[in-house]
This record gives sequence, structure tokens and C-alpha cells, in this order.
Amino acid sequence: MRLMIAITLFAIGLVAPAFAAEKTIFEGPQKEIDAILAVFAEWGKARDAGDVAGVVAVYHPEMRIMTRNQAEFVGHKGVRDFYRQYYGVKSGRKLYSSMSELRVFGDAAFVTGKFLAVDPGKGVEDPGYYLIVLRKDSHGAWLIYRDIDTPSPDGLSLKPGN
Amino acid sequence: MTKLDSELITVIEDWVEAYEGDDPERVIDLYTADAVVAVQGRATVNGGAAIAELLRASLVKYDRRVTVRFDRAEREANWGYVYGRSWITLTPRDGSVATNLFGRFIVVLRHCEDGKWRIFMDFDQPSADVEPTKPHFGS
Repeated sequence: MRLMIAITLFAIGLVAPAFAAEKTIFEGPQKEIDAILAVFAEWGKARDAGDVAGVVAVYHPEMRIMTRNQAEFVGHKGVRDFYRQYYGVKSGRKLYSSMSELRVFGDAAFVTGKFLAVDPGKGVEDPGYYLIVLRKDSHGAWLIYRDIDTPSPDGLSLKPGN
Repeated sequence: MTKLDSELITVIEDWVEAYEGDDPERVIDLYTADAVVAVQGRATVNGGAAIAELLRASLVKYDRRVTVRFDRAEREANWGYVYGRSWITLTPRDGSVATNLFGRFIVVLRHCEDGKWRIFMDFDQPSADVEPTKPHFGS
């Protein structure tokens, strides 16, 4: 799911004019914002390629994925376990998303937004809201530290045609 | 359980005490003007005014009981976050059936100009590792 979130965030949520009506709130130094957007792009590229090692590389060693209705996934092993659930599984699932806020506070940053997962063949329509926390590592590189979502009807506004 | 910053924990404990009490303004003051509340299954509530309206309505409509367990609370210069598990029972004052909400929460706080820490993101989710029967639901 997060594969498409990141791809859509960067490829559609931030770029496509279709989402211009829902402007992202940016707070913090532009240099840091640009660096974080680059991490999202890298993240999406790795996931798009099914590159688990590439995905792991953008996560902080102390990361936690806190996704709804599942136990936490902790550390880089948790990242691998989480993403292996999705790779290699054929699915008609599509995911739409947008970014509401990207706020940088020193060595931490918070990104929020909404998403909608759909799988017409299975009758799935799964809207939600996400929060991603990033921190800088000792070399000054931004890494994903917390990756959290919750069910919310907010995501229904992303349905094509809405 | 690691890294529990006592000042941040106090904010959440204040929230619990104020929310269980009947003083909505005390709860509202714990949020920043640009705060976001994202509660599982509900539309996101954006901004202090909308959050205040939600809280005032909730405190009128329900008797409330809240239990929280803290897993982590960390801060840096002007921000911090707390996460853990929460169990909330909302009992409607009209006598209808109570609702039990449980799951994980993450609260992001900002250090404000008046020196107080306030919540600017209040987020919860259903979670497979939070048992519905504990600690105060009774069954």
C-alpha cells in the first residue's frame, strides 16, 4: 500500500495540477523540504521496482511502521517483513493519495495526508489518513522514522471523479 | 518501554484528566491553533476552532473514561511526540449503549511561545496489538 502512497504522493499529490485545489502546507527551510521530497521520490522508486533493500535504505534503523489492524513492524527487519507482504502479489489494487502538510522542526519532520486504496475486483474501497515522521541520521540524511495510518473517510475525496 | 519525557507525559495526563472532567476549555487549551485531530474512522478535524467544537459537543454528550499506557515520549528543541495505547469508553448521557474505542495513539506536540507544550497532531488507529478487554472495559 505504501508503495503506491509514496509514488502517488510524489508523482500526483505534489506535482499534478489535479490536486492543486488541496494545497500542501509547507513549514521549514526550503532546503530541508526539498531534501525530504527527494527521499519520498527515492522511496517510491525503490518500491516501484520491488527493491526491498532500496526501501530499507530510506528508513531509520529505529523505525516503526504502525499500520491499522496490525502489530507494529520494528526496525529494518520490520520494514522487510512489511514490504514482503506486498511484493510478488498480483493485485488490481490502486492507491490514490495527497499530501496535506510537510513541516520541518530542526532534525525532525512530519508529513500528513490522505489516501484511498481501491480494488474493484474485490469490492475494496479503503480510505484513510497517514502520518510520516522523519529524522536526520548522524550524517544529516533524512530517514523515515515513523510510518502511521488510520482509517478515515477523508480519503474518499480522492476517488476519481470526485 | 523507553525514553519517556516527563514533561510531555504530563501534557497527555493533563489531557486525560481534563477530558474526563467537565471543563472543555481546559482540554481545548492543550491544542495549538493549527492542530489536527485524526480519530480512527472519522473525518479529520482541522484547526483549533473545529477541535473546540468537537470537544465541547463530546463533553456534553458523553460521560468519558480514558486509560492510556505510554510506550515512548521524546522531544527535541521545540517539538516532541508521545505514543502508546489508549482505551476510551464513551457513555451517552441519554442512556444509549456505550462505545469502547481502543488502539494506538501518537500525539505530536509543539513548544509554544508562552512556554507551554501543546498538541498539534492527535492521531489514533485500531491496532492488532492492543487488547480490547484491557484495562477498564470489564469484559
